[in-house]
Amino acid sequence: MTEFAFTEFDLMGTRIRFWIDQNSGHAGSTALASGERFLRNFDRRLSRFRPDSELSALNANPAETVAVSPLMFRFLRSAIDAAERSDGLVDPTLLSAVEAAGYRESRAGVSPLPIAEVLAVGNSAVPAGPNPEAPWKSIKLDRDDRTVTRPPGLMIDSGGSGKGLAADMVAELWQQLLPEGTSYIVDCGGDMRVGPQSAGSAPYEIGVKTSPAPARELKLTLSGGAVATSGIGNRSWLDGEGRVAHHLIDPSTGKPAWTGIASVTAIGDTALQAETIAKTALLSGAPRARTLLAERGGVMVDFDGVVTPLNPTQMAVAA
Amino acid sequence: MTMAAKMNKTTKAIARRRSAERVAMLSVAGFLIIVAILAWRLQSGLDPVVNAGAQNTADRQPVVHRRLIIKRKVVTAIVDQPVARETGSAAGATGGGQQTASSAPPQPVASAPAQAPAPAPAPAPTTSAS
Repeated sequence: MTEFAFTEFDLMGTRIRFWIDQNSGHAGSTALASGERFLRNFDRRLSRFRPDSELSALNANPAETVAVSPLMFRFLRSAIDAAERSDGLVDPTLLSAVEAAGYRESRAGVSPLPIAEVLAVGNSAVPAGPNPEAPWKSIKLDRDDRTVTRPPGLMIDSGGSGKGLAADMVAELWQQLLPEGTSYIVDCGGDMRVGPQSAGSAPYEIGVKTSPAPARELKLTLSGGAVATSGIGNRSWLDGEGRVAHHLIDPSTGKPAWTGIASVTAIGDTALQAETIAKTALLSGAPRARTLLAERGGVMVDFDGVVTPLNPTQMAVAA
Repeated sequence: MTMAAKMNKTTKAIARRRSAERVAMLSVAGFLIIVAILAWRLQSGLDPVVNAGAQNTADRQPVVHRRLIIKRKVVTAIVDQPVARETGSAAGATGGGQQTASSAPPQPVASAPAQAPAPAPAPAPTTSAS
């Protein structure tokens, strides 16, 4: 039985939570503090809501080629990788579309619409598709010069893959700071990365909160890797015309996607990979989501509240 | 000076020298004893100066993290039956009907670190859409 030291704080418009095996002692305390420092720097550089962030400066830069920091370079590489893996569904160039849908300011602390009100809108289940122009393909990275080249005015958003990347990078940091085999969990707003399971220790038990169906509790067991959840319930609002909107945009239309799936939880090797799978599954609609999730495991919740666990060898279901 | 007087003077000189030597030896011995005691205290980690400094440093440091001891729990579960029926691929599902519970939602169990007051319970690790 592992006993954990725990800390949590608000950042990146969400709740950040850290668990580290308490037997790691001083190294664990150092890792907790270092992880928080790292994420605060991550947020300062990559938040679109900070006018002084590097991301805001990049989006406002009229030059075609811009030198960027190592962190920005890593983020851009990860965002492009997620777009490639999702065939353009997890598109980092949807900032203008999500702002047009009404998501211009941080919604940290802002209550979403009641889930029933959100789901009442999406009676039609239409799979999302990629933007045929694939503007993300115009983003070119030069590793040697550490520059990015893209059409000026192309707005890049860190919302699609930022939290998963952040969880992975904290895990990388902790791998250097903690004794080998130390158990830990990094949770960046539902994108969770766990430490490798050491010999003799129990696997990680991760609860899955589904929405709708909050009364149901599912659990995944992980021996390592990551799990992430993507859903439309927690960031929803009424747009300027009083229509229900949310933050998961269909790249083919530039509008909020209504695919019949309310949330998806996916397992992956990394939090970025899990987040990419979860978003891709949600945007793809139920048939493809089942295929995507069956490989590694996950949970799908549709608009009727039906909870579908896939590959439940790693899963227990309880109410 | 008579022979007796000379011998008396010599005896007194010898006595004075022995007394001085005794004082010196006692001083050195006392010094060595004190050094040995201090060395033993240092070796045992009882240096009062160092401990006082560490205590002061600890007093000055703000508490950065809420440390809480939780324990993993084993959860008894009943498999969600309608899910399996719908998806046809959910292993572990066993039949129809509404999902039921055999156990209350798990609560983290706080062990008893020697601190008071006890910190608030930490949440069990949970993923949900943010």
